[in-house]
Amino acid sequence: MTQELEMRFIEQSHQLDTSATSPLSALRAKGLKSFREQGFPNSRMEEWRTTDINPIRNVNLSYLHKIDSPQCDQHALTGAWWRAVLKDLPTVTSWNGHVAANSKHPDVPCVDMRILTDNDHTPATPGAVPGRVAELDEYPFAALNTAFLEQAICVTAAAVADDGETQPALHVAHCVSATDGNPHVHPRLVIHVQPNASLRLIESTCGVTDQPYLVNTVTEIVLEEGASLEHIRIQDDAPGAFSFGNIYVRQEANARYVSFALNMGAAIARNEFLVDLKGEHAECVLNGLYTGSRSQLLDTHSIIRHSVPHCTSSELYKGIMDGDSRGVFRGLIHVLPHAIKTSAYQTSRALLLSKTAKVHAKPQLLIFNDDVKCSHGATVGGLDLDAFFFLQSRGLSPSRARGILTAAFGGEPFRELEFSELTSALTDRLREQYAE
Amino acid sequence: MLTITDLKASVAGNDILKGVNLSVNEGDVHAIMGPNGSGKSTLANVLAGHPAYTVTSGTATYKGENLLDKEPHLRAREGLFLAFQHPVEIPGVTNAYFLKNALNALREHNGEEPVDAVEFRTILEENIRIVGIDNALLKRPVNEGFSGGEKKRNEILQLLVLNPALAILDETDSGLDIDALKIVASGVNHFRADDRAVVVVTHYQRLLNYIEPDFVHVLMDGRIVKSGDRMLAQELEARGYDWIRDELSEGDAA
Amino acid sequence: MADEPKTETMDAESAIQNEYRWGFSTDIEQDMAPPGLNEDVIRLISKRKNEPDWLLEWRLKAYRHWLTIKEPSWATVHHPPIDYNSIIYYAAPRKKKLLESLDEVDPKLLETYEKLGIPLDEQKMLAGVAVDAVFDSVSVATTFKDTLAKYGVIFCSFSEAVQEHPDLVRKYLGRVVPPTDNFFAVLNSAVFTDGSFCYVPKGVRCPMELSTYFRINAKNTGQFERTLLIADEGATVSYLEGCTAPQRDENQLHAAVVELFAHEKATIKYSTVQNWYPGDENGKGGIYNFVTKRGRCDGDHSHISWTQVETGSAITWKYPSCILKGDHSVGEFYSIAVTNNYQQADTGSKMTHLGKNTRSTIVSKGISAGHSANSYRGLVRMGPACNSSRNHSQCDSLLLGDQAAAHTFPYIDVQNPDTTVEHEATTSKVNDDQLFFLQQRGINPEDAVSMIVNGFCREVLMELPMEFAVEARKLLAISLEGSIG
Repeated sequence: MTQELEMRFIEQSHQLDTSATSPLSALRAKGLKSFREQGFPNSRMEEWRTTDINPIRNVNLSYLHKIDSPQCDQHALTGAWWRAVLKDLPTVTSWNGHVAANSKHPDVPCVDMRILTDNDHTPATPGAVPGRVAELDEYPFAALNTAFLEQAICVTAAAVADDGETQPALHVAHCVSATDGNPHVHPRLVIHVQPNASLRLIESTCGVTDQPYLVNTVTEIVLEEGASLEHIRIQDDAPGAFSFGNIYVRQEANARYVSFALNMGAAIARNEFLVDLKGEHAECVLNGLYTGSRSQLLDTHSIIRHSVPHCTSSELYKGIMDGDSRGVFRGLIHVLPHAIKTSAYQTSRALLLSKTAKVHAKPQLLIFNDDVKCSHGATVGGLDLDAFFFLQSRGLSPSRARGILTAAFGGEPFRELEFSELTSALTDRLREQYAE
Repeated sequence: MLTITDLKASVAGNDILKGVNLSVNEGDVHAIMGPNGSGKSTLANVLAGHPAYTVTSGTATYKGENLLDKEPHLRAREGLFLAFQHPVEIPGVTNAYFLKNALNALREHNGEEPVDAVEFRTILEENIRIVGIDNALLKRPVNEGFSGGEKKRNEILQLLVLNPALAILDETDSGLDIDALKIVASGVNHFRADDRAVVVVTHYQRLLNYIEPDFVHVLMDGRIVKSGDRMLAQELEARGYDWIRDELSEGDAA
Repeated sequence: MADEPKTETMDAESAIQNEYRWGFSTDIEQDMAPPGLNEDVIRLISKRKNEPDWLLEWRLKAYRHWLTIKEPSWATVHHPPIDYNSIIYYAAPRKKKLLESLDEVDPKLLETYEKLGIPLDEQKMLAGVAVDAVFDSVSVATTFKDTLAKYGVIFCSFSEAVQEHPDLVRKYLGRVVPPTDNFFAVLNSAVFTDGSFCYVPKGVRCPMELSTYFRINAKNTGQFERTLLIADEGATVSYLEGCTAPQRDENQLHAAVVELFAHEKATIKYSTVQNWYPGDENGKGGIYNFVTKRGRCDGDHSHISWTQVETGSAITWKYPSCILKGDHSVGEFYSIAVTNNYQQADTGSKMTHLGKNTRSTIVSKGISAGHSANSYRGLVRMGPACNSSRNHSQCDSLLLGDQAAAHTFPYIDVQNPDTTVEHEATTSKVNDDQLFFLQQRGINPEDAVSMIVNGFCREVLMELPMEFAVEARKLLAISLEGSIG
């Protein structure tokens, strides 16, 4: 790969401390090698044919080295509606890809959080280290993240001692603040939920800048036997941003992973989920909503790999596309030969609100044994005009009717969310936003 | 016609039948009653050869031959009919098409010529009248979109068309209103004859008001613990099952 | 896996020799081009067929484009690389030695004919036995032709059309599948040797299914068949291609092109039953069927309907498609694809909605047994101007046996909010309760499965012309023989 942008990234990666012999440094070398081989994807590749990332090439992105104290403070971040819901949660914030060395870690019962670096690499549990589940081949952005892996936020959740305690919750916020220049940042989050432990994790990305930037997260999740994780991702990046999320999940027997992803901001955003169901009776729920306007490109890719018998997965994604925005949904259910008694369901629905919005959907089933129940459904269309008329005939204004119907549509993937405050805030927000 | 000796069977590793003895002769109508979970449906399904059930010991002889060795469709062709408790839906396969195929498979087995369209029509019309289902249901896929009552009546239609020697009705009365119950019963009574036998598996005595049994058996915890005539059914209706349980434990204590 | 694709290249000539298994030897006559493809071979083909210059240029243009493109690799099928330079592209007129009687025909083939209930004379014809005067296909064909001529319907071989109706051919050839389309279509454009041509004039309802005729004339039309079917304003035609009886064929690679062109208010129904040699139980041999089929609903209120029953071929790569250009036009695709043993099928449809108030329906039923792989691949595209258009797709897969694979790859691209696209897909195995129920009613397991499969396919079977539906049902049962343990 000899293109200019690739070269620039490779050069910048070389500027990192290569003398270190830490595990992170070894991973960086691996990531760089993989990125060097792959480069940035192009639309000739099947998985990228509807996701053109060329606008990234027009921005002079540069890497910001470790900074010891945040240049911004929390006050800069108050605007967004969802922040109000999360304000009381224990929060750790990374600024431009780094958690400041002197920042205080929130104290959450049963949760051990550490920042691993070249100099300090003592994980809480052997499972809570980066590089265990992330795959780099075919994931050029994950490779790039790994090439710049200077710091990893590693969280271990242990089982609650007695039943009286509530499920621990943690908010990890990745913020970008560019006072000058266009940073590219590569946060890494590792979540290890121990046997029978449970955790609620909120992961958000946002920017306090008008400048384009690249935020490229890798989240690695290992759920041990009987573990449970509710994982909420909120992508509310600045309008000019390029936001990439790579989420890798490995589930042992009876583990339960429930994901709710809200994809709202950025100019180009893509979430890639790779969920590996490794233990029997594991259950996975992947739900999400993307809401596009302007000329946004919002993309969700997911692969759910059923490797063993008796696992269940369900996926419900919705898109609301307005303006000139473009939505992409590709979901693959992959059932391997021995994974009998698999139940897998996937639904993707998109609502087009303008003449110039577009949606590309590709739900896929790849099934290699006969003892399965799998289905997928996909619909794309405009607002249900019968319902729209019915509401008006009962006295609601057209804008109110539009808001109600759109919120009902968009809220569905979040209905099962146990963090119900977020669901109601989201629904309120949608009802207002689309009543205009 | 059917002799069951010390039959034991399990499903998914759980022992359900723990030594059932039963003898059914031509012309007999037997009722097998018992509380929920006593093994009634298991017995019916084991006799029909449902693959989910495993016979662990004992024998069942039907028309002088070992029944348990035979594949399910061969049992059926030999004249053993099970009316299912939960009739299954088969998308895309019409009722009439299915029935004609079943009838011709039976005829072929008996060395008879297959029925032609006209003959089949006649047989159908005769029996549709008895069970009182709508002609249109014949053109619909098997049981798809049928109401509970329609499904049960459809089972009785199959009974009449296939005309077996031994009919086992598994909770055919469940979920039926009184009118449907009467129709189902009249279908069964129409079927009754000196050379045929009926085994009615039921939780309630209600159906037995319309299909009068010659023998009544109480199945409890995988065994037939009490047998009698139709008066026993009425006693069960009046007193429930607990007194039998008490009687049994007294017997154990003595 | 036992049948890992071999790396050796496939030699078409040796494939021909191997056909000895069918019990006849191939007697290749003199007039043939050397193996391989170059401009001289194309000139030879065109010259032998006495083609006008524009057609030669058309072929050469396609060939030059073909040189610049690569064989597609996106389909979920595996085969050894095809050596295009070992294929003989022109070898006509090739007379095959006819057999003396049915005794010389592979008994397996006869058994299948028997099960399908194919009349004896027709069996002879299909198996390549010399047919005597009792069954004079030529005179039957002539009768059909006379009837068609009365209505002004042109129905003839492609070569004949080039000679007799050059203006029509020139006007429509490549309008739907341009000579710069996909790899296999482009190859076909360069080297096609023959095929069928049909033109139904304005307002004419074609008086017969163009099926019987075709069946009687089911001679070897060659590896690179080209079919062009035009329904003028208000015309209606139903065309049936193929045959439920397994066809004898010595070419391993088939790359046909079918173009349908429907003018205003025209209706074209195109049904296919494909039952080419699928290879043996171990996946040896069999036809590679790489077909491009596309219809253009050019005029308002036009209607194109594809129905296919695909049970044959080792590899099927086929996506009958509709371009819905005219307002209120309708495109339909009904498909049954059965794969058994080591067969591979990658099939589906493309519906491109351009006109207003257009409608499309896709119903695909895939059945995979043995070690086979069956993929649905489809695209529904709603263009920016196709207001009030709708699509509904239903893709169901039924798996028989734990070594079989079923895949679904639908692509949905929507650029207009005033449209509705619905896609549903399910994958499941034969339901044990259904099997037991049927068995309890006296039906043996194999018949029970066949009954369930037929039920599963009912929606599609109902789209077939009556007499073919009956044969297709039997064909499904035969294709799945031995798949139940």
